[in-house]
Amino acid sequence: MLLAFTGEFDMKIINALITSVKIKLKEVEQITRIQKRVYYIMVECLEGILGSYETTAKANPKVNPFSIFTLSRDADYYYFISGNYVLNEYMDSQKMMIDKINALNAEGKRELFRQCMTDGKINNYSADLALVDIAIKSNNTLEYEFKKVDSNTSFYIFQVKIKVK
Amino acid sequence: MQALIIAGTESSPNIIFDAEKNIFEMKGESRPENAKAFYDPVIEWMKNFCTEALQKGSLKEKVVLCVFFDYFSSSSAKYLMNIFARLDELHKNNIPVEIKWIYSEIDIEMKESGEEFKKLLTLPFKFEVVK
Repeated sequence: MLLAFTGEFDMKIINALITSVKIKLKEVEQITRIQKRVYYIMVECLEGILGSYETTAKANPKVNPFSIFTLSRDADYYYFISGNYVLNEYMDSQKMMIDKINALNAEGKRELFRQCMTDGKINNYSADLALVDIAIKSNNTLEYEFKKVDSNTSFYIFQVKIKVK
Repeated sequence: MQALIIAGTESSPNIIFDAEKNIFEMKGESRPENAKAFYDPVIEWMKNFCTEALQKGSLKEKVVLCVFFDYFSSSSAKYLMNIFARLDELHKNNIPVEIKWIYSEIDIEMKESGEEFKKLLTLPFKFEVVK
């Protein structure tokens, strides 16, 4: 396990986590390209938690801010897992986007990235762009699960892995 | 036009847009807490600069925007695209502009990101690798 954090995420915590992982990666990962990829995906996952929470909290400030993030590795892969509460009404669009990305080949993902970049929407956080970017950089399937908590909220678990070599 | 100078932090890039000295640089890490709040004034500056250039129909010298990121988040990418697209308008109006995309030799992802931007724009990109 390289990193495990549970609690309320904010930019201060994210910066501390990023600094900690940067140091650990230099110790455990000799291949700089992999170091970079792990870094890229980790930052996107952490920003994803924050972006998702901010969107959710804007719609319903009572939503539980508790979130999780873990980064681990074994001989073959680095594993990224994030979890946070989301409103059920966002579930379907998120599922559709991830399924759409997973169905694409490498060039299809790049084409979708270009579409997201030029769609004219300019937001503080774009979940679609972040997801397709993670899919391109990980070169792996994006996995997800929504565990229903009540009639309003679910706990959204997102997982991705990248090959060590 | 007053220069725009923003000092970099651990999560936001160093920016120098100085029309008088013809220095245009963006460097560092870009994952600001609030990408909109960070990039809005940058985009506003570039919008005014490009509007002025288009009205004049020329610039004293060619504009070379030097971009050297260690990392930029996907939320920053759209704002960068917006800045580059404004320069692209100058290029489409025959005003000489270029993006110098600098990347570390160990950072192939950054090179690929530059290539993606290049595909979306018409202005010239010059790639420079540093050790």
